[in-house]
Amino acid sequence: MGNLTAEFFFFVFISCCGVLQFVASYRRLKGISFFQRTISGYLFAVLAIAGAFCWFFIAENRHAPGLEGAEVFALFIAGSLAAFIFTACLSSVIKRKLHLSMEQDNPGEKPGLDSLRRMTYFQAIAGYFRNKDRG
Amino acid sequence: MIQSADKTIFFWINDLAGRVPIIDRFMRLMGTDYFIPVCMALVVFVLWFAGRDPERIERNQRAVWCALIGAGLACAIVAICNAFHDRPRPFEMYGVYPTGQVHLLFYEPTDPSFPSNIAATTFAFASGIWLGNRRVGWLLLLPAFLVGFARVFIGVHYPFDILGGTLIGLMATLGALLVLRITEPFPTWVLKVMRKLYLA
Repeated sequence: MGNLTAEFFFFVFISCCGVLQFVASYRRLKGISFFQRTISGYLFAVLAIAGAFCWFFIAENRHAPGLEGAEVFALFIAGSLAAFIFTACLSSVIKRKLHLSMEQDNPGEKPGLDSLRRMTYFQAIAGYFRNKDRG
Repeated sequence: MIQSADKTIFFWINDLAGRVPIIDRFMRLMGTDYFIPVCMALVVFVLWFAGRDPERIERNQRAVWCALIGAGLACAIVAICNAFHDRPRPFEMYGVYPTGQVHLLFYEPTDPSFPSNIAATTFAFASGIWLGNRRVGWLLLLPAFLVGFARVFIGVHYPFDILGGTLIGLMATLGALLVLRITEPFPTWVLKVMRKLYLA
């Protein structure tokens, strides 16, 4: 059972990483994309999602008693959250030089996902708190 | 009368199993506890970020909230039903082929047959999304129907278990809608906080 829990978490984690790269490519959110070109993001998404599904369902027989519905739900939330944190960290490292001029901040800009088109997740968070301190 | 109709429809569908191996494998995959629920959850995950304009994005995000709360409520209602009513699974009643009558293509679940938990949660998910985004909602209703059919095909549920689960899922969505209306402005406030954290 412990093995299945870890495998399901990893399956969700990889799938959600793929989904996040798909979203980053689709919405041009360069700040959370691992790649320079959008086509690479789409390709990664397809490979990650298809690979995760193939690995999870083909590698082992899943027609056996396993996780309860509530466990599946909780593991999906945990896996998707972990995927978001991983994506934010890795893309912030890869894209650390992305639009450094945004470091000057833009007091008029409303926070939200669209800000991640020009800056990484951690640049955005840092910018938000700096603006808040300035009042 | 109802039980007899339920049994008749069950055997119409379940008798299709064991004839074409590729269809059996497909139905077994569709009927697992993980495949369709995870596919639907991934679509909902994408929907959280999707939308052409801020208004549409917010509507999608509210639909995701509704779907999540609805799925949670559906699970709770199913658990309450299970505590009061223990309907045996079809293979427990009629035995497993070849000694019995049921073509069982799955493991033997030990929880009550009525209502179907997976039907309740998938329909709660799909109908919750349908309220905010018709196109994606219809798209999700298709796998919700498929998983219900597959569960009868593989021999673990009666059609009325699926119907009961479906009704519970739809009721749970209405409940989720009510919860979101009653707790307003809390959902708006949560969305605002998530936007400030660049999560929405």
